[in-house]
Amino acid sequence: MTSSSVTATRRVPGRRWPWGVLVWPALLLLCLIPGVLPRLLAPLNLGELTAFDPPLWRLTLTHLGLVALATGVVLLLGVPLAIAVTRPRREALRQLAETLVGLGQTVPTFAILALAVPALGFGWQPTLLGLIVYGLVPVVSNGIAGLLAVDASALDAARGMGMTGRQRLLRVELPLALPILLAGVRTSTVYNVGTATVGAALGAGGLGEPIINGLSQQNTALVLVGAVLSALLALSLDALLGLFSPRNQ
Amino acid sequence: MIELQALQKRYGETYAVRDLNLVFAEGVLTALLGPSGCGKTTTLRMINRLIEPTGGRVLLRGEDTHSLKPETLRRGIGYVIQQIGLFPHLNVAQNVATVPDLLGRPARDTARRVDELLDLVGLNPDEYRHKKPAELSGGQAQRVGVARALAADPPVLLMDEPFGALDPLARDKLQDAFREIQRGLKKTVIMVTHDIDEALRLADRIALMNAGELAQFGTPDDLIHRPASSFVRQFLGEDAALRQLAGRRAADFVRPGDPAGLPTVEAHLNARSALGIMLREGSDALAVTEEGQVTGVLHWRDLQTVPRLSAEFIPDERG
Repeated sequence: MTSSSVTATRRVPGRRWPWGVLVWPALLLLCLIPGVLPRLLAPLNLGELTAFDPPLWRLTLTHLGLVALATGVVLLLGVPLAIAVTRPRREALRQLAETLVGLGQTVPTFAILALAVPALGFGWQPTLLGLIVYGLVPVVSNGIAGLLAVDASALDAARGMGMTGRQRLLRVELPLALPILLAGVRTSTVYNVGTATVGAALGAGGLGEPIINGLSQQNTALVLVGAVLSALLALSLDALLGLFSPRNQ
Repeated sequence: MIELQALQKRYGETYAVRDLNLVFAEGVLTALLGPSGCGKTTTLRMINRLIEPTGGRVLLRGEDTHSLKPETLRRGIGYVIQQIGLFPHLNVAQNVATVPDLLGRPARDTARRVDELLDLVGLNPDEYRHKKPAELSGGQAQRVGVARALAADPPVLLMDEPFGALDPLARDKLQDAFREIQRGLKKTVIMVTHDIDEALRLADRIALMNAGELAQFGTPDDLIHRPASSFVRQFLGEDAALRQLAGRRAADFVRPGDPAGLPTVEAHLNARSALGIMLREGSDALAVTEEGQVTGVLHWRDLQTVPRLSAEFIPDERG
């Protein structure tokens, strides 16, 4: 009894139990059971919901796959980029990278998608490109911010004790930058769940499909189905990624 | 042990360090003393090549440090800085183990070594091993900093204002602790400081620098009693001899003798206080007592020459 209360109070203050990790995915799964969402939305009288083809779970998986792939590519591109431009004597390069990456955010997503279609054709490819361009912003800027925030005296000590540049990066800089970097990854992923719905207009599939169909058929219930599911997906991913960010530093 | 030959660092037209020739003898603690901007930190950082000289050489045991890889060189030299620079994401034990890990020493040996070192710097291993740097006071953190620098048992220790960021109380305690450690380990220590008291208290030798050049190199006694220039005299101040006494205990000056009728002084008091008692009592000798027992006599004339930490390196010129 005593020991359990001790562990409970010893949990880092301010860090509540991440109940979202269970609640949001559970709600998402519940809504994916055939018939559950139509029944829930029926009292609102917003429109007819017939059987979904392809089924909602499939659209959700497509959506998730697209976002996961984009996040993967964003990590592969963004982290090395942030590392490369934060090495000593690369201030000019760093500013250039921040400007370019920031540009990705100022250009509307839809414009990026539209511009990518002539080059990549319709389908998931232009959507993926849009998600990558858009998702790079928080990862690169947070990566840079995290690496620049590393205590200069810790780096001086690391160098003075004989760490090579690579050892300083792996043992000191990246671990210390990780919380800020992970926050960027989380933002990037959550944004992209929303952004990916736009891809349905280009035939990428995913949870944008019921939204687009609902709009063209003036069926608000259908729009809500897509919106609710992508919101639950975003909340689930946010909660899951939140597990990785250490908040006690 | 370490020899600087015509060492020079130039930034454009200005010299940070100019034509510096110095020998740091093995087992001796040398203070690089001087006003800010005199080039003492630059000199220190050229020894482990954190700054590359623009001229001259640094010899470590007769070997030009330029022929070594900088990382290899640095792993063989302990490094302590004012800002301490502990790694905030690692615990105390992991911080101390940094260099042994870099050298690929077996984890079990390193763990034992970490405990030894925490003991040495006055931190109970069981209590501190798993603490994060954020949980430590400034003094405790710098104790860990010193333990970390000693972890791979380097023969040479570079210290850049190691106690400069601590409050006076913690500084005094850590200086005492470090003096004891150095008494036992006899490392070749080069310590940058702008604090004259610190230099007088800890150093066997002082290299006083001014505007990138060496103003005087010698024992604290040399600098106090035989200043080479008016700069040296001014920098140390007219009360340098008193400051030097403040860093020594009355017990350090005790010699056998007849204590009858003499005023007494506690052995743990510093020698400046002893001098104060002499002036007050109008006596040129004191009976030194420890826990009520007289241990000997302290004479005024002995206060004129201050015994050093490593007496064997100091030529006795005063007779």
